[in-house]
Amino acid sequence: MAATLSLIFRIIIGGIFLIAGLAKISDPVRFMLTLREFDMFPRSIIPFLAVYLPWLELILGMFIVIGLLYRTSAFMLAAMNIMFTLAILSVIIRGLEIDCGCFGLLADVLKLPDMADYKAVIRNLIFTGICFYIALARQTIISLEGYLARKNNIR
Amino acid sequence: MFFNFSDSTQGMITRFRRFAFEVMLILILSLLLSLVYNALSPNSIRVLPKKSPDEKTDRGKEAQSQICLQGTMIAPPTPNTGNGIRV
Repeated sequence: MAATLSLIFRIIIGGIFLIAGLAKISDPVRFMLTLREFDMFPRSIIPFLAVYLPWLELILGMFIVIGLLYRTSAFMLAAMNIMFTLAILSVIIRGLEIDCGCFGLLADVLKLPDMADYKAVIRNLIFTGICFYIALARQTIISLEGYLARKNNIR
Repeated sequence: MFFNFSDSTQGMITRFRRFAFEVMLILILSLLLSLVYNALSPNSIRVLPKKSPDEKTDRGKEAQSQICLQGTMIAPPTPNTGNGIRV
């Protein structure tokens, strides 16, 4: 049961971050402007973050879905979610009304809620909890890591 | 070995080292992919801040400082009093 739940969570969380990463990669300028609106980072590193973070999300999401280094990826994704949550909380405290930039271009296409508000904080906390579950679950099913381990044992 | 760790501590250290290795692997893989994609993509972003042409060389810096120096030497235009004499 726990293993099946871990697989379901892997597909959900991995899929969400895979798609969110792809949406941001397709429009890096928009993500760069969103990061600038947060007014938290030095101007010189914003272009680098706008290029790097979507790829990190994409790789982590992909690894979680296929089940390769999925525990480490889930821990890293949880850490990223905590940082995103802190950033959104800081925006709320400062009274700024901006997009959180979580889903990039996809938010406009699918009309997803993308504001940096308490809903985004709650959503991120749920994602963080799921990531910790994936990382700490004793076992999972249908993973590339498991397949490779079995293959090595047979040899 | 200077330290004799118990088996459980050794296991923890091994696991932590593996975790750190995997984290580094993922970070570096993402970095490489992002930079390569950004270099090849038509809507790429300039990751490094662009230097102005004058700041690139020492000669440019020198020329810039000369311009500033000259700027301070030139007196601002004085107001015309109307009778041809500038005060």
